[in-house]
Amino acid sequence: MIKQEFIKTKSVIDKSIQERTRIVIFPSLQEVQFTIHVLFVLIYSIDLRMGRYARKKQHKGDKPLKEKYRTRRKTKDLDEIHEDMKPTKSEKLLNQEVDYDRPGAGQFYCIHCAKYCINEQALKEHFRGKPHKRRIKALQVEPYTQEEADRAAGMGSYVAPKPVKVQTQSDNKMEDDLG
Amino acid sequence: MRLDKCYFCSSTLYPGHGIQFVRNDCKIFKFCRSKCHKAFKKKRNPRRSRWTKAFRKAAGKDLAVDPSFEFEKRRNVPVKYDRELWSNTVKAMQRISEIKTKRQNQFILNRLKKGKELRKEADKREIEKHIHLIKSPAARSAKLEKKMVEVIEEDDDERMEEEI
Repeated sequence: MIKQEFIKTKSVIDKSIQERTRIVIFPSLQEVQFTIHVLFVLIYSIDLRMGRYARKKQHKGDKPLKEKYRTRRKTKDLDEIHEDMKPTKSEKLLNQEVDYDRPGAGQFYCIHCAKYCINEQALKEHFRGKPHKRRIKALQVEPYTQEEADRAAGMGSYVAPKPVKVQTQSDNKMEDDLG
Repeated sequence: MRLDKCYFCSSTLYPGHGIQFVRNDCKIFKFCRSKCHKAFKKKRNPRRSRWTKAFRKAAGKDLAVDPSFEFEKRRNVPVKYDRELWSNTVKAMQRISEIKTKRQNQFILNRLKKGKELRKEADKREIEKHIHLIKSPAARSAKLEKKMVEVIEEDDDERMEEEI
C-alpha cells in the first residue's frame, strides 16, 4: 500500500515539474497574446503623440516663406537679367515712359537687380549697397541653362561657363546725361 | 517618348515623375522631384549646390570632358524602325556605359591620388619638425660628432698615404 501511494505521489510530482519546465521554456498562448498587446499599445502611444494638434502646428510660421516663393511674386531670374543687359533692351528699360503706377514713375530703374527706386538719390544709395554688389558679382558668369544641365548629365562634354563683364549702369547713365 | 533631364540636378525624368514650370517668357523648366523644384523657386544656383551634377562637373569632381559623352544626344532626326539597327544600338549602349563607368571611376581614383601624396608629404614634414620628440637632440649631436671624427681620421690616413 505504502509503496503504491509513494509511486502515485511521485508521478504527480514529476508531472507538475514537467509542466513547470514547459511554462518556462514555451510560454503559453495567453502570455504571447499579452506581450503582443503591450507592444501594440506602445507603438500606438508613440503614434498618438502626433495628433491633430501637432499636425496643425507643422506649418506654423512659414506663411512669409510661402508667399515669397509664390509664382505671382516671382522676381526675375539671373538669365532673364542677362537678356535685359543686352544694349537694345537695356536702353528701353533705362529710358522708360513716365508711369505713375511704378515707384519713382519708372524713371530710376536698376537693370541688374530688376528694381525701381523712388528717386536719383535712392538709386545711387542702392548702387552703393551690399545687395547690388552681390548681384553684380552673381552676374559675372554666363547664366545656367538647360543645355548645361544636359551636358552635366552626360549628353556631350561639359563646357565651363565663361566670365561676363558687368558694370553698374550708373556709368552708362551718366554718359547718357552728358551726351 | 523622350526622357528629359532635370533642369536642376540633371537626373533623368521618367514618365509620371516630376513637374514642369513655364515661365512668363515661354521658357520651360523641368524638374525631377519637389526637391529640385523648391531649390529653383528659392533661386539656388545649380552650379553651387553640391549635390547636383553641374556642381560636380564644374568643380572637377567628376569626369567632365571625354569622347564617351558624345554618344547620348538629342538628335531630332526620325529613324525608321529596323530590327537589326535596334539590337545593335542596344548592344552598343551597354558597351558604352561599361566603358563610361570605368573611365569615371578611374578619374575619381586619380583625383584622390593627389591627396594621398600631399598627406604623405605633410607627415614627413611633421616628423622633421618634431624629430626631437622621438630622438633627443643631444644623442643626435653626439652621433654627428662621432661621424665627424671618423671622417677626419680617414682624411688623416689618406694624407699620410699621400705623403709617403
